[in-house]
Amino acid sequence: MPTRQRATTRWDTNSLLSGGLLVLLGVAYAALIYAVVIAMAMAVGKVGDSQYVLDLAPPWWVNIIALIPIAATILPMTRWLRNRINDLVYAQHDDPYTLITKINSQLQGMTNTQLTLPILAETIARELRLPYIAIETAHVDPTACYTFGVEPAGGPLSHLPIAYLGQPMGTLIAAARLPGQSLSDSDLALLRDVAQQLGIALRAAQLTADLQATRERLVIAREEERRRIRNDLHDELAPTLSALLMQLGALRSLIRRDPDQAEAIAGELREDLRQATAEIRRLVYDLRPPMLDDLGLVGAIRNFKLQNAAIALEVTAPEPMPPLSAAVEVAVYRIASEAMQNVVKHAGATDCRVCIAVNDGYLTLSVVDNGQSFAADAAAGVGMRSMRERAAELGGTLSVQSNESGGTSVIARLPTGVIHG
Amino acid sequence: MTRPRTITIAAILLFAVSLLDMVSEVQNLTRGTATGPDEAPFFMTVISFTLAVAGLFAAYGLWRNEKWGKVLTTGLMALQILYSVVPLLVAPPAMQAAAAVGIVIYLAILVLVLWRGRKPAPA
Repeated sequence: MPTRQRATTRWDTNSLLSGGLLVLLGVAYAALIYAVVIAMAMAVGKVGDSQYVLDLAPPWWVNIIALIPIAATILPMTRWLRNRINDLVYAQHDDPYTLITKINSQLQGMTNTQLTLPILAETIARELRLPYIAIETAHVDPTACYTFGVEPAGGPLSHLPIAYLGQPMGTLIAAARLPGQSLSDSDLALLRDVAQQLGIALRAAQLTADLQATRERLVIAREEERRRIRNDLHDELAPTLSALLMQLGALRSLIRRDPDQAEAIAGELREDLRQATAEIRRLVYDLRPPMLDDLGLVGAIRNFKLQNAAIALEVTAPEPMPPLSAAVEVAVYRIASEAMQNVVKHAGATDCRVCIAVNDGYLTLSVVDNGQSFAADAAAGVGMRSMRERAAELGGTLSVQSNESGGTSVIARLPTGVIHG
Repeated sequence: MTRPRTITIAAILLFAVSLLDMVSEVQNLTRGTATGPDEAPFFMTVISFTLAVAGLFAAYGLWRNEKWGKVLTTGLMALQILYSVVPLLVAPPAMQAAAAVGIVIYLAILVLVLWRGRKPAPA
């Protein structure tokens, strides 16, 4: 928990000014009330006129009557005056935007919350002359709490939520200037404004961190894919081609000496070539299903072999299908294929409906069957995780739910605004 | 310069009342020490004149929306109220009425300066 030094001393110039004004106004208030009561007593003849205040000598009961309203109101009046004077002396309640502007300029330069938030806490504490400020971040850095000053022992702390569009981002904690006091409404209003700015900044920091993490994941995924292709080429295709080369050499040497043996080798060669071709096709298919290029997304899904003739497949999609990026096409096809395979393997359904809809920049894919309902507590398998990851990679979501009439619905929602690749 | 309306009104009021005070006290000062029973003692005239001059400075500070202007006004108004309490009790009726009016004006200025012109933001 990073902590910086104390913001204010207990008795600085502002404290003395604030205390002096409070005493002066309190005395003026009490004197005014007393004078008004005495003046009323003089008006009704209970106190004689005099040229000097000290010669007035009102009866004791008039003094008591004068003291009653003073005693009854001095505490709430002092509290009210103290809050107003504190606002006047400490806070910038008439010009809150100076502080907001200063904080905004610091937030705009925020590249690292761990460096910027302690400085922000110090700025808030110094500008508002508060002894303690803490900024707790909830989502950007779950355990982080950046403080300035020393938390007062037993003093009341004000907790102000930091949020962005209703999403909690953290808490701004502030202590009052003197022990036992609470922050004034004006202070709280200003701190709420500051908390709003912090919410926007923390959200931006969170998005920046997410973006960086996504970029790293993309680089990792690309390198993983390159390694897989390299392994496939090196471990499977290369030995097959080497073997074919050796077989060709043997065929060449035998073709005149032993035509029968050569014919047999030619037959093996043909079979090996067929396998190599199949291997290349598999590699190509893993990169991008060729059917997507041949038939389009909807055609490829319609052409999907369900491996169970008893299941009727119905595909509905917009006609014509709006152009989609290659990434979205592959993701939709993979998710649909996995969901349809699950229908075949687990649902025991007789009907499978695949529906694609494109609205408001989002593509919604739903695969609905009429088989067994999805168990809510069932552990997600590899296929399910794969579908979720494919949706999440493109900034989409995937949900699986049981239908009221039985069966399961797999619904993926993907943004179509992905850069066309 | 952005200045709350309450501070503008307070500055104008303070300027007007301080100017009136100063003009009237200048007349008293030029007359010298008090000669009649209806006149205030000379030291009170000097105090009143000093407060009036300080009030003009405070009005300037308020008009500029400076923190020192508000603090000075608050302190001055407290002193003016204390200063006006005495004539409220012992002065002749005309001066009592003037003191009462003065107290009302000082209270109004005080409230306008301490008034929170900014509503708290919703939680």
